[in-house]
Amino acid sequence: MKFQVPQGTPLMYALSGTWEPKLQEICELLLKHGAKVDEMYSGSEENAIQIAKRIHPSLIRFLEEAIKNQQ
Amino acid sequence: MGQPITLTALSPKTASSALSFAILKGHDDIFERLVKMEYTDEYVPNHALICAINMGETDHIRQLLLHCPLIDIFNRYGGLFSYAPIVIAFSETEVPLYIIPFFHFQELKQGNFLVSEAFIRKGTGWWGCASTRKQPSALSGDRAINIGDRKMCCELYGGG
Repeated sequence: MKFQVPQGTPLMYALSGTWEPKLQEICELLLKHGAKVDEMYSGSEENAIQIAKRIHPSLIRFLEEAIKNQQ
Repeated sequence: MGQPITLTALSPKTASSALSFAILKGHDDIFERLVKMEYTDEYVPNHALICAINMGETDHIRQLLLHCPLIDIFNRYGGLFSYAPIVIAFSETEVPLYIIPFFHFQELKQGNFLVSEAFIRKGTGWWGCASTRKQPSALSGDRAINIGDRKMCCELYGGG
């Protein structure tokens, strides 16, 4: 019995999912706890915002705002 | 068989798997208890966080972030997680909260393998409900899970 998880940070993992209704709330929680949107992690082909562009385009504006606030 | 033990006496990874499984199976009362434990292994809350994200459980995510200092928001996850025996036991029996203190957990070395077994107290005996068989050097993701040992456990230890 094994549980397959994709590679990535918690934020990347959240953005890779399909639970759209709660996704922004989940992202807000993780960002409040220090998750970075624009950080490219070693060994990863995408950062969080690139994942969002591919899977959840509706969240791009929210994430871009988060980047501004983190700078 | 040994004395009944509580979850706090289990290894950190076993408890963490129970914490994760409480999220996966919606056992909120069990989660409430386990999330307040002091974990020493960062695998514990971080695996649970991924499970909570996977389930879209925002309340659980919030609690993990609040209560678990070992949460590493930059940790990268990958590969496979294997469930510990107690988690398989939960899966097999939908064990209610009150039965948790009546778990017995043991590890035995058999040849080149380490066999972990979980038992549930049933009447005056113990019911072997799950086991894993792994090479001691193997990573957790490579553990060979063998819930087919349930029948063998029952034959060896009675119950079932």
